[in-house]
Amino acid sequence: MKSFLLQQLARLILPLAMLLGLALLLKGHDLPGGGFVAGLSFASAGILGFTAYGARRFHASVPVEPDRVALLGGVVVLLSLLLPLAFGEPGLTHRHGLLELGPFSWKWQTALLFETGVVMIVGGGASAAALWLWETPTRREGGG
Amino acid sequence: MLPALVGGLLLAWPGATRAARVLGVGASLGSLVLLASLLVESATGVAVAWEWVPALSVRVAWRLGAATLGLAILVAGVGALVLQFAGAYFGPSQKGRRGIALLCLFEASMLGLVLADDLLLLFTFWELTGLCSFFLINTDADKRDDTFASAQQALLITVGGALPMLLGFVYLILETGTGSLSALVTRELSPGVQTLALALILPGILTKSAQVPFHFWLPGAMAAPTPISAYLHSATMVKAGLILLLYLFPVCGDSALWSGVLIPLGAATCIWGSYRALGQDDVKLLMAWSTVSQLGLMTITAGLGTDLAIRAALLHLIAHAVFKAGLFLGVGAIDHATGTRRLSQLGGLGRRAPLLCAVVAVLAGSMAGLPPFAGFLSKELVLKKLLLADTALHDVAVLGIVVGSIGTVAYTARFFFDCFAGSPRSDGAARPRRLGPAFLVAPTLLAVLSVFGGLGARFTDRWVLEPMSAALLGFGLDVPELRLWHGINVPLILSGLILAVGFLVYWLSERRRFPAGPDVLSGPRLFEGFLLGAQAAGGLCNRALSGASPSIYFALVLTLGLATALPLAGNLTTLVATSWAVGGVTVLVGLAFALALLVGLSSKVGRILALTAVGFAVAMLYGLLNAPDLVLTQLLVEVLTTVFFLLAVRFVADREPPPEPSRTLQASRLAFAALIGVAISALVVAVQGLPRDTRLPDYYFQAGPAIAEGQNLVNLLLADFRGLDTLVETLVVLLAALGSIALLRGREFSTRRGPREAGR
Repeated sequence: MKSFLLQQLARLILPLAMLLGLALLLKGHDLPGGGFVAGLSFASAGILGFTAYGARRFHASVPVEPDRVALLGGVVVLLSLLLPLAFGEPGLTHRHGLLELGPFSWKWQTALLFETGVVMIVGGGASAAALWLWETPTRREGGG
Repeated sequence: MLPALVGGLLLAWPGATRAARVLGVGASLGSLVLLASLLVESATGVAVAWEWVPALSVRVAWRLGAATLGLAILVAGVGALVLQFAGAYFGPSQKGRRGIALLCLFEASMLGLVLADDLLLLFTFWELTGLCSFFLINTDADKRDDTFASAQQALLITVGGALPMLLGFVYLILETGTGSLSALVTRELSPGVQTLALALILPGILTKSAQVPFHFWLPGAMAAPTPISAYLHSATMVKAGLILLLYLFPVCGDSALWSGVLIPLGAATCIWGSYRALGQDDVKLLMAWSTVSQLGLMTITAGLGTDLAIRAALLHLIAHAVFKAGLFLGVGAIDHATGTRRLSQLGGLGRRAPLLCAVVAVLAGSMAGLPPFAGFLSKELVLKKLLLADTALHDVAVLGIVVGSIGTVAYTARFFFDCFAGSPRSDGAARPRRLGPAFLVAPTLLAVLSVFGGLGARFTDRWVLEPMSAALLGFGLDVPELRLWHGINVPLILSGLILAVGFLVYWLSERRRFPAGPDVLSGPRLFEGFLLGAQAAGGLCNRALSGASPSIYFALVLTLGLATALPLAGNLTTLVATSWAVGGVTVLVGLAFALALLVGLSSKVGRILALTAVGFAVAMLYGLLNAPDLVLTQLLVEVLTTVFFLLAVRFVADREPPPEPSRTLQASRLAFAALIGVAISALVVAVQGLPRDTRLPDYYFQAGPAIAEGQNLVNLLLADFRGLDTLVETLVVLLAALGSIALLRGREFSTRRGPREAGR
């Protein structure tokens, strides 16, 4: 199943897809992008990863399994729902501000936490489902 | 205020049995002391703990006053005693720990119910008590098969009744603009509003307080261990309905429905409960039916609908809570000592367990209404108010109370004499186990309270009844009216008559047992029928709807959806006015080509790729329309969809293709597809002709940068303005992903027989 061409392509595309995801996530507030597309981008990267290099190498190289990422994303999203409650504000209240470090400045947003959760759910969930689809026949062949 | 209890609760969960027992009693006593201190400070008004849902002005607020605090003290006090007894009764066991923890939870929700100021908060606690009682009744579920059924019955009946009650609460809130009980009681509502609200709320009250014809869950709930029954059926669960009734009297008391419903149902309950109690052999069931009867008595009294009758109902509610809790605990002690609860096997316990006998004698005397116990006082007051009131259905009320009370005297006598007099009728009764003090403390204290409450009539009046009813009704009485001896008057004569006839009935029934017979008035059958009917209806719907091919659903949904868009047909004229740009036409041509490929190609993979090409063409259309967000999303979604299709195709790749559908079927599908396609295109064109409402976009264009400090409105909407929607959607995505994994994991992939392929 592994193809040399695909692997070479993946070497190029994988980091690009991840960077794209990151950019979409961070810039989404002002430019086209956002959590959902960023998640899709990450999911594409993940799927490309295991289709090019095989599931075994994928499992070995990712620090956290995709389904765990999706679950954690659920926790993050709920956290951003509940955290404002602790400060006496309605759930999902977002704050923003400008962090200035000399010539650099970063416009921080608590909405980013929420978006990160969305990314984790979409990216993790999609790649986890695809990974299971990918692996299931392999198992049958291996087992039978 | 409640945190003390809740803290104790959390600790009671993992703790050891002994610790749980101590903690449970300690938490109850702690809240008791707290409540009492509030009472001593004569705290009144509303204590707001937390604005729960400010948008609906739902607050976690406690209504403080003599009435609510007094009832809460009753709940906490009986709770402490029952928990102490439960510790002894269960002994060190896992079940005991669970039971005690649940009792604590139950006590907390009952306290919340009694003290809640907000109607919706009260409703929450109301349902919590129902839920807790479900688990409590289930404590012994491993022992008896029908225990679970009983618990389920209790839950469904009370929860079912509570649904219209919630509607009633909402109606009251909408009508008055406030959900606060303390504000509601000061409002003057029109009779129509009162009647409608009451009609909605009464089902909840009647089911919870086990009135005919909803009473049958209560004897069924006797499957619970005795201490739990003692608590559920004396001071708490079944009283919740009556307490709410008392709370609502100032709000809805003027309605004709008040007496019209409460008196007949109460009378039926009172008489039927007494009659059924007479026929029972199991002491605990006897007590359960006695509770039904007493609840009927209180309902009638409240139903008289005068302020003074409410006072009487309140007093009897308290007296009953005390003596019935004591009696249930006494029954538990008898059960523990002799190993049986059957009257036909008991007897002669008077000499063998004298202390228990004395305690139970006092409590039973209080229940039968013998002087000088508290039960006598309250029953006397009930009779007095009964004779004073001149409501409609007065005769029914008199009949219910008199006959019910006669029955009460008779079954109380039967219970007491069969247990304690005569000679033992079984080995267990002949040689009862010695009861430790742990078994006797709680019943004895309750008995002492009963004696003290009766003998100290003036004290009871001044410190218990008067402040509580004054807080409840909004005015007090200047003259104390509780007295053991009023001189010879009509209530006293009536009382004497009731006692005499009651004993006569007992004496007659000793020779010839009352038939236990089937409970004709009750509805377990009805209930079961209802459940079975619901299941059958569900099955019917399922059969009618399932089994059809998915394409039929698809067609149905599309047709219905388009039918709703029919009114837009008038706008179709704009089709001519639409301008045709060159770029758009080019993309459309590409789209048509991809579609032709999709239809024309025979290999699965080829078709999937053609589908992707269609998607990309659509993305280009979005690009022409200046929607970069949509382009981005569309492209990524298309890529992933393709991947998923390709992955899924691998499962069916080596499977036989489905048989070629018949020519007519193909033709009809084609016709339908063409129809839908044309209709949807028409819809799109028609929508373009609608006048635009720019208020919402304008708001977001203005508010987006200002409030959320962002430029990408689409994303601001998703992440910020409609964040809750997005949150729920992402959770749906999560569930879908995990669900598909679970499906894949649980399914055997075999090439021999796959599921029928959906027509495509």
